[in-house]
Amino acid sequence: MNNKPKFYPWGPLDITSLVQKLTQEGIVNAKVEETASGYIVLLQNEDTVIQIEEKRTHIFCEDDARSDLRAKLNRIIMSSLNKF
Amino acid sequence: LLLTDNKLRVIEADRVYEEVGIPKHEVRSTANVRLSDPRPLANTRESLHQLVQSRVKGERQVVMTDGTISVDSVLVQVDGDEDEKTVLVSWGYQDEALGTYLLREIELMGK
Repeated sequence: MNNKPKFYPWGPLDITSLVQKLTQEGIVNAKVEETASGYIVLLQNEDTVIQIEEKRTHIFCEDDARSDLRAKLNRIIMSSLNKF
Repeated sequence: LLLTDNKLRVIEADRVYEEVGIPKHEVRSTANVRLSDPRPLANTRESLHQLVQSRVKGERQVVMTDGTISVDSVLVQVDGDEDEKTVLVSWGYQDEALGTYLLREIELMGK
């Protein structure tokens, strides 16, 4: 298996845009906390944490049966980043 | 395909970052899967190693270091005892296809 990614993301993630898009997609419980290196977005109903730094974004899903949620979050995060 | 100094070149997409001087943004996903597998940890780990290996072809190398199975940006770690185990699966966006495949297969192992 050697599937190439569709996009190559770059630059910082726009947190305001991310939260707006989460809301538009029906994820309305996002709680944003500022950290020393960026932000943490807590999605309590989804049992998910998104850690955002200048050069990286990390999605942690605790619940193991949420592939549709992961795909949705990936799509939203990608749409909040510059990419080529 | 990259146009610089009026020259057109074909380069690997991943090299565009350094060629154009734009900062890469790494996107990573991590998930925990609970696994009911009564076998010793080493046996479960070996099954997971075989699962990863079965899906990786060509020059990509599956490495096992300190119990962590890794290939490119993908990491698989299992912990726990005979009663219950937890498998951590983590992958970078560039390995989305392999990461999500492994996660799905490991979830099925736990059912």
